[in-house]
Amino acid sequence: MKLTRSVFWLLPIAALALPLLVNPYHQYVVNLILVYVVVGVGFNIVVGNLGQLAFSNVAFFGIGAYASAIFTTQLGIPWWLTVIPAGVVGAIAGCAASIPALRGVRLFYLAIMTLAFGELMRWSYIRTPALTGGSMGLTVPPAELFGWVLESETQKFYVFLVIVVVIVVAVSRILESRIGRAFLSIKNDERAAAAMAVPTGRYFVLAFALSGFVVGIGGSMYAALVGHLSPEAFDLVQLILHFAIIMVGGLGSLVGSILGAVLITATPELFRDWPGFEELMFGIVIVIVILFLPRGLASLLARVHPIFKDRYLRED
Amino acid sequence: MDADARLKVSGLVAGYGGNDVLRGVGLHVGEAEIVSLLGANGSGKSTILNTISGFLRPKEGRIDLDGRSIGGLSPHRTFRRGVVQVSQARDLFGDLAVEENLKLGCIIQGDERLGLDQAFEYFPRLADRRGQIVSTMSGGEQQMVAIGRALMSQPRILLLDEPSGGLSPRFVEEIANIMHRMKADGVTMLLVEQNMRLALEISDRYLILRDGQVVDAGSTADIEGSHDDIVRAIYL
Repeated sequence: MKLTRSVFWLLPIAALALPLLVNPYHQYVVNLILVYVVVGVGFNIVVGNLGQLAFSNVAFFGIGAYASAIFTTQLGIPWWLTVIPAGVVGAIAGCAASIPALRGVRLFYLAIMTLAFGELMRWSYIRTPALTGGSMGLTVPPAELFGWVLESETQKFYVFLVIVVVIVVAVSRILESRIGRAFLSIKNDERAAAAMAVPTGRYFVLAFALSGFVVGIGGSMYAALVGHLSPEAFDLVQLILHFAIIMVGGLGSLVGSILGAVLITATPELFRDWPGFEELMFGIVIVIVILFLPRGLASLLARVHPIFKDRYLRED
Repeated sequence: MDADARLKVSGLVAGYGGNDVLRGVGLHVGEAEIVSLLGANGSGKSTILNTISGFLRPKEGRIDLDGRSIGGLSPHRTFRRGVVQVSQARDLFGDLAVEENLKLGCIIQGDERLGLDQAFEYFPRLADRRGQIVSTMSGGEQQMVAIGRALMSQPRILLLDEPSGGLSPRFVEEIANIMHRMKADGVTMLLVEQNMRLALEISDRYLILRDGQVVDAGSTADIEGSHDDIVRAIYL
């Protein structure tokens, strides 16, 4: 029997049984992995598919998280109704972050400008205590879904799993459409893309907005998961984590975003009982993967079977 | 003929920086006609194509497509009007497969399925290699991808800048055969070509440029015997 991509559906179906096998703490880690799958998928749109060295991802993540928390605490909107608005606020931030790229800023210059955007947002969280709780942070009420409070990690898991599946399928469809091809053409040769009448500026804005939307939703999930937001959670270490996820997983690969999120989130947890060792192992895993699999874990799977060969993962 | 020309250029002045490369060029290309621009290096042939396709802004003059002005429009607006250029550099996406490159030809307009069918009909070799990464192909095959991609959007006029440049004689012959087929199918083309034999073989008319001006023009059907007069007009 020939394997097709429909076998990927077995993954979320099998995951439904996961809560039976893990304790509440491990369930929390699994939920965190789901948050980072969304973050990785969103980050990869700009870095892996559009090919831009833009690091505004933590800004989108923080904005989504705080937007969701503020809508819940200040406006009394139940969490599930804040997920899409958090994404929309992230998308607006994405449009703003695309401005330097629209003005022709590229490579390291774009990297540093977008990095500054993330730091500016962190400064804003500290300086607007009335909204964000300032450096003391903001406590998020328990997440609600249609009036039910998501008290346990298991309940959150099922809601998060649905969000992850919807996002992965939607982003996959978009990347396989003309939009995805336009992103790829810009990544490959921006000048040639312009010569083929690809309105590159429009696609830059679209990629950043889409990335902001997806990562903003990731931020909303994060707010629901951790229950308390503080500006330190959105610093450069968070950015390194996001970058490690897509580098280790595979730039421009959806499968890679999932694998990267699993490995990067789970590794420190495996060594939690040896204080100080978890950071060391985190670093060692990144070095080993990048040394031996420069195109990420996704390239390893692609060797196992063609169905894992992501059409967006190219030979460099 | 002139009045209902598909492309009409008159009094075109354009150049780079303060230097005018084109100094009052005028030409027209009728529907389903192929016109060749001949001239020595630096005579302004590619500059004409770049100005028509919007990559270079004209300083003076008019460029009309089907009676509507397109002079000074951005490259992507000019493309939308139906002017598609295949440059000398080919501007292909080297890391993408043949089929993805072709599909990018109609990302703005055109039907993907029809376009692919047409491209594979002209270039059966590409159908067999639709999954091949373009940078791994030979120069001749890349030229086929570039021309195939240009045809994807069903252009009103195709601007070809030295399609035989740097190709082996076998590929030049293959490209010539394909251009004959395109001509028979009514594709309108403005061609810049150093290979004079090829240019005169497939064109209906020719124009000779020297120092940014048209110095001679004629019908290829009127050429008898050798091309000595044309060579003299180009270089002497």
